[in-house]
Order: sequence, then C-alpha cells, then structure tokens
Amino acid sequence: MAKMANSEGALTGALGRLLAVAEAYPDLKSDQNMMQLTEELTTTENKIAFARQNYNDQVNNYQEYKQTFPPVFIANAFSFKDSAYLDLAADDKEFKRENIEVSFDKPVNDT
Amino acid sequence: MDFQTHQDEAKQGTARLIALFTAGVIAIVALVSLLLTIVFAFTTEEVDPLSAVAIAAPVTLLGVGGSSLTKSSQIKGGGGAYVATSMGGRPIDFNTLDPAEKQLSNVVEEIAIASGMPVPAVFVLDNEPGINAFAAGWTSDNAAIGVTRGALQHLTRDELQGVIAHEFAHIRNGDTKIKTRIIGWVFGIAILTVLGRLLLESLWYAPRRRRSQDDNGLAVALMAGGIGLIIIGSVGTLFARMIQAAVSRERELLADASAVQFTRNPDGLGEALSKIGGMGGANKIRSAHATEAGHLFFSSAMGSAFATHPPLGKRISRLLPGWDGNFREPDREVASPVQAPNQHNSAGWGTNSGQMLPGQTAIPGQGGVPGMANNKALPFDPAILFGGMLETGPADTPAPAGGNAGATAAGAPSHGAAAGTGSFQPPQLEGPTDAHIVYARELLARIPEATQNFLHTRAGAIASILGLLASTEPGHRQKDLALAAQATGLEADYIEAAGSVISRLDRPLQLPSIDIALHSIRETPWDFQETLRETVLAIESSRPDQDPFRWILRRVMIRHLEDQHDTGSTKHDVKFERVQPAAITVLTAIAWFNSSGKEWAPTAFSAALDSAGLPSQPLAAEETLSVPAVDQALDELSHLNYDGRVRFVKAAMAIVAHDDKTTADEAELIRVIADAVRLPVPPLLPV
Repeated sequence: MAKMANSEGALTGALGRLLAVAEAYPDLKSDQNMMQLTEELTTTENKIAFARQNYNDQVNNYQEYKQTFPPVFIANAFSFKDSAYLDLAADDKEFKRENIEVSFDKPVNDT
Repeated sequence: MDFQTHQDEAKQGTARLIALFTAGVIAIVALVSLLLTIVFAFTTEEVDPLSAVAIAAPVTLLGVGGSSLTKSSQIKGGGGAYVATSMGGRPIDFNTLDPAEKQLSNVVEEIAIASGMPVPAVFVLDNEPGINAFAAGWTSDNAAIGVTRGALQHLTRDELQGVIAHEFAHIRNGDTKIKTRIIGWVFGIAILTVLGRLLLESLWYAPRRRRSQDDNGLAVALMAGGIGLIIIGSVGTLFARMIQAAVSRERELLADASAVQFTRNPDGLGEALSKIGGMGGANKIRSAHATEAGHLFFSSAMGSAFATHPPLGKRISRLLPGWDGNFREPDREVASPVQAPNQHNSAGWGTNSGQMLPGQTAIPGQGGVPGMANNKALPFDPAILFGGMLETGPADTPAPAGGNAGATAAGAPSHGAAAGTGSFQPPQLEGPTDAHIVYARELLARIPEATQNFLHTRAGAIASILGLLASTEPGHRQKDLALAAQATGLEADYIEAAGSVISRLDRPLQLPSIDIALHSIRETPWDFQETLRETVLAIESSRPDQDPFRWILRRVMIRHLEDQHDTGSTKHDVKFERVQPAAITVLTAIAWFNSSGKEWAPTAFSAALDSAGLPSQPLAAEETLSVPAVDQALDELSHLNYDGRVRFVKAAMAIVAHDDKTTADEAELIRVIADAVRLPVPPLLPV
C-alpha cells in the first residue's frame, strides 16, 4: 500500500507539472495531438484517483459494517482488523500539496 | 454537500412513499371487495359478508397484481441497450477517434471505476440538440447510458462527469426496477377503471327487454358496481400517479447525491443543471419510450404534483450552496470539439478506409467496408459491429506491412533460428517482476506498428485469429474458412490473408499479438462472441489436428471468450485428488510434445509425477492422446482450487525444466496450460 501511494504521488506530481507547463504555450494547447494527449493524461490521472477513492470508500464501508450490531460480535470474536486507507504520500514533502500563497510583494519568478 | 445524509434522507423518503403506496393498494383492494360484497348483497339473498369478502379480496388482488406483473415484465424484457436504441441512440466504440466520444468513453470508464460497477454500453442521441442524459437497464450488467449530442457540445469535462455520475447512480440504486414496478402497479389500478367501464358498457348494450323486479335490481346493482369501480379506479390512479411522481423525485435527489459521492465534486453536476435551466424547453427528449429510462431532466408539463423531477432550482441549490439563482447562458460552445455527427461513421463506413492487406484491393461500387460480404442475413448488424470501427488507418498500411514482412523474412534466418530454439530461463510462478515488464515492453515494441493497428480493429482481429486457426490441410482449410466467413460476415479471402498477419511474426511475438487481438474482440456484443466461440469450436472439431500451436491458440481463444461472461459463480474448489486422471492426461500430452525429443518423454513424465507427489506410473502411448480428451481434461482442471492449480502447474513446469533447456515452444506451452487452468504465468525471460 505504501509503495502504491508513493508511486501514485510521484505520478500525480509529474503530471501536474507537465500540464502546468503546457498551459503556458497557447499554440501547443490547441494542437490536435496535444489535445488528445492531454485528454489521455487527464483520464489516466482521474482513473487512478477514482480507483483510490473507491478503495477508500470500500474500506470505510467495511469499517462501518464491522461496527454495526450483529457483525460487531463476529468481528471481535475473530479479531477482524481494520484495513489501511490509501492515503497520499503524506510524509513526503515533495508530493504534499502546499497551500497557495498569494503575495503582492514578491516578484513573479517564471516567464 | 453532505451526500451521505442526503442519500439517507432520500432512501427514507422512498421507503415512506412505498409504504403509502402499499397502504393505498390495500385500501383499494378493500374498497373493491366491499363494493363486490354490496353488489352480491343486492343480487343474492343469502349474504355471508365474510365469505363474500374472502372471495372478493383475492380476486381483486389477483386482478390488480396480475396485470401489474404483466406490464412490468413487458417493460423489463428489453434490456438497457434495447431501450437506448429505441430512443434513437447510436452506440459508441470505446476505441473511437472522435475526440468528443473518446472523452465521453473516458468519463464513463472513470465513473465506472469510482462507483465500482462494470462499464455499461454508451449511446449518443445524435438528433437531440438539448442537454440531457438517461440510464436504462434492469441490472448493472445489461445497463446502458445515453447522452444527447447537445450535452457533448455544451458541457465541459467536469460537467459531463457529473451528468454521467448521476446516470450511474440511477443504475446502481436500481431506479429502473423501482420505476417499472410502480408503473406496473399503477397499471393494475387503472385496470379497475377499465373493468368498470366494461361493466357499464355491457349493461348499456345488453338487449333491453321487460325485466322482472329481480333483474332490475341486478342491473342497478351491476351499474352501481361499475360506477363504483370507475370511481375507485380513477381516484386510485390519481393518487397512485402522485405517489409515482413523488417517488421519482426522491430518486432523482438520491441520484444527485450519489453523483456527488462518485465525483466528490458537486460543481460539475450543478453547473450542468444550470446550463440546462438556461436552455429552457429545448431539453426534452422527444421519444415515445422516454418514460422507461431514468432521465437527468424532464420538463414537466403537468405541474408540480405530477412532476417526475424536482424543480431545477431546488436541485441546483442543494448542489451549489452559493448559487445566485441565475441559469447559465448555454449558447457559447465549450472546448470539447464535436465534429458533425455521423461524419465519424461515414468516414469508416462509406469511403474506403478499412485496413487493407497487401494484395487485397477495395471492391469498387460496393458501398460497404472492403472485405465485407453482402450484409444481408447476418445474425447481427454489422453497422454496430464494424461501422466506424475500421479507423482510417495510415494510408501507407499495405506498404509497411509488406515491407516489414520483407524485412522480417530477410532477417528470418538469424532471428527465426533464435526464435525457434532460443532458450529461455525456466518458468517461474512469481511475477511479474520488473524484468518481466521490461521484457514485455520490448516484445511489444518488436511487433510492427502497422500490425498492432490492424489488430486493434475489430475486423482485423477477428479475421486474423480465425485465419490462423483454420487448418493447414488443403481440403479442410477451405471448409474452415467458409465456416468462419459465414459466421462473421467477412469474406473468406480476407480471413485467409489476415491469418498470415500473425504467423509472419517471430514466435515469441505471436502470443502477445493474439492478446492484442483478443482485446479488440472483447468489445464485441455478447451474442457475437457466442457465435465466435461456436465457430472456433467448429473449426477445430471438424478434423483432428496434431499441431500443438493451433491447439494452444484455440484453447486461449475459448478460455477468453468464455471468461467474458463468468459471473463469478463458477466454482473453483475441486481438490487435486479428484481430478487426478485429468491431470495425468494433460501431463502426458505435455510430455509427448516436449521438444527435447520423444525419447525423453518418459523421464520428463516421471519428473512431473514426482513434483506433483503422484505415484509413478508408465507413460501412456502417444496414440492414446486425442484433442477432445485433452480439452476435456483441461476443462476439469480449470475448476481446481488454488493449491491444486499451483501443484499442477508446477508439475507441468517440471516436464519442461527437466532437460535444463527451455525452448520457445515449451515456453508458450507452459504459459498457455497455466492460462487454461487460470493460474497465469508471466512470460519466460530469455536467457
């Protein structure tokens, strides 16, 4: 799980940077192939995100169910453990989403 | 939006309404029974109220319930795709090149992942300029989703995602079932009105003659009964329709909340609804079958009590708390580039754009896809199957294919020798490791791009597999090709030429190419896959064939075609001991096909028996093997439980590994045997 979360974090970060850079070039954005590529990248990223979301939802459902009335006895009797959520790589600073800071004093440092 | 709370509220609301409905039905049945009892009281002298009610109540219940069941099974019989096509929908191909449809198919796949449901069939209503969408289908397996052309043109990606999520929510929550049942019961109640009218009419048109006092009483009673039935029926229908509409509104709110659960983004659906509001009345789908599908939006002509959808403003404010109450102006078209509808289809259908093989020319004047036999009398509609699917491939397809063949042939001596006898590492069960992935990428890169494109088209994939399967014996070959041509609607020559596409490749590339082709075949309609499976079985069973590669290919095809419809109910819990004879049969077959030479077969066989922990026994003679027997043995083995499968595959590997040299043929054989018993093994890495 941890390895998967790390890989996903790396992928999302890379894709985000690629799409952000592509935004700066209007001619590139309107090119047919680039639009197809963007669509493919977007859908891939979305699918990964949705899969992770679905997994976390199922973990949540499982944990809730485990605590409802009849199953709670069986769960305790057989010591069913909670499953791990698939979190973003929370400890790795590079992949963590940073809050956007707006400052009117600092100069803009890219083109 | 707190979607969980909203969903719970909507579900409770539905439960309350259904309870109300049931109470209503019971009340109606009681009233009708009362009515019948009164009528009896007037007509016969002996009135036993209890027995009268005891007769009347079940009769009424049967009448109402029976007609409701009939109506609901009539609606249910269609299936999602049927409803969608009857509304004018055109199915889209998930491999389409049209950007808007590709985006639509991507969005549908995303929401399918988010909701944990299988991907439904997707339809586009080309003739509807408004923004709307619907979901149809009884279960999630035969579900269909439809979207209007206006929706594709006017909605952004996020909005489309919200709309599709709303439709998925209808499928997941079983709204079609609920709706159809309620329609059935409303119909059952309406039947009472019809009966009442029938009764009155029969009295009216009955021959008038001098009546005795009794007959007069009877006539009055029957007339009263008829009028009573009409009154009860009409009032009942009125209230039943109101409850039906209320249930529909609750389910719409539930679908909105579920859509937010899937996308975690209320803005998408909210903005889409806002755009719909801005377009006014243009969004109504004009079709007679519209009531059978769950819609995104339906402009209600009848006023709020009978509206099937909650007011648009209410829905938007639940989704977008900060909404200012103004609908969006829809006339600016959003960035999703939608080409004129049907342009995509005609490009693939009318003009000559099918993938052509070297040596095959287009058939002029035949306004169909080159290579298609005349399209009449086919068991399925080729437009749905192939139309638009034969993409405009690179115009120089024939040349590179030919060129590649030439290059491969020229390089064949060094390559072919290596391919045929190149050695591989012994097979292993663990994997795939990074080394496997790198090797797989390499293999894929070695398959020429033109071939990959050809195998990505459905016609190409089907033709090449069937062509490859056809027997090499001259007499049988024509028969097999004719069979294949008849079943699929492609021409026999096309199939024959396509068969060489895969066989020209190097041996290690052939199974991967077959995998590519199988993926394209996977997206054909289910009944076509059935036909294909029967054709494959027929081709093989029409003559015995000792060619192991063809046998391998056939097994792979059948297994994958069958697996499409594995609902998970096939059991895999048989113990190894119970299918021991079958295992021995298959191990015998592998031992005889061992490439080290026939004299090694007995040693290999005993190595396998040792590995599986079976008592040693003599190897059966090669003549006792037969293709049907081995097939059946493999079928039995496919039900093994996990430990049994591992044991068997290890035994098979022992045969191959006993001589410390694994050739390409052996590598393929092991992979396919393992695949056939549902324990896939990663590709064997070259030494």
